[in-house]
Amino acid sequence: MLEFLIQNSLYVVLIIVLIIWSGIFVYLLRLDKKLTELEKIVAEKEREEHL
Amino acid sequence: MQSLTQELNSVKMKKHLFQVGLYLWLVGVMVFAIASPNKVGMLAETTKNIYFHVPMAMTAVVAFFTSVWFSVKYLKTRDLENDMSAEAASGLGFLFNLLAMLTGAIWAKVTWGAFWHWDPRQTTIFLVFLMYSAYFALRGAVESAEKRAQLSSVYSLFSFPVLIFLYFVLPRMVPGLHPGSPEGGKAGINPAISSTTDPMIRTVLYSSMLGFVGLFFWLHNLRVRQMKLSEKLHLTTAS
Repeated sequence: MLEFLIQNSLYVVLIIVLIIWSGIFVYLLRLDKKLTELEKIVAEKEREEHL
Repeated sequence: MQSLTQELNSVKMKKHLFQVGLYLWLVGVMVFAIASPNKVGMLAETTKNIYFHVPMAMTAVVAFFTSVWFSVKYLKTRDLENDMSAEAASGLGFLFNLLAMLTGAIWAKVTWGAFWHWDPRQTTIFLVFLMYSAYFALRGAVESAEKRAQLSSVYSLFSFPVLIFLYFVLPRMVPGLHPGSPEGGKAGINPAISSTTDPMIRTVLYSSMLGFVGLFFWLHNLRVRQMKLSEKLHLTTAS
């Protein structure tokens, strides 16, 4: 595997690009989740205020 | 209540499907973009920049169009949430336009010799940069939210046709370094849609554009939700 990557170094670039995209994707996924939680809290607070 | 939870669950499912789909789609694009053979000899390995540099500009166009869409919606409904969506779309359009400029400059350094040549397309993308800088300057200068929304909606509406001219028309009329520039007195054709461009290059390019446009819509959604939450929290602390 390592020998192959040393011979075909372009695939090292591919691995790096994919790791970066994966990192950004997981970050966005977590941000989305956190926003959803906040939206729930704010919606509940609004409902309480109206009662 | 039962149906509401079911509906919420189906919305959640669709969202997850979009997110995972987008992830895999762009993974596929990256694999094909980097592992594919170079079909344009003179560009060598930088041929692969096509798959990342060009989609930035296309995503910017989609983003600025989204801004126009919500601007029109604001002018019709006078609902400030639409103005928020327009602002978020313009901001992301600005970002993707900047990314196209920066990636292009790096590419220009290695293929044309310098970072900046004032090639027609470099000039027009810089004009787009200035045009939308003015959009944010305008927004920052108006105190009243309604007036700000109205002015910037109209500004966005009028700047989009100019963007189309700068992005798609002018670089085909003036000789330049970019592919698709006019040659021998004949207007240039867009290499992205021309059949002279290799079908494999076009397939990966279109897939990449679609992937980045999908990413734009997700980023836009996140930004708008954050803006709405901030607005709501601001209102409750103010009262």
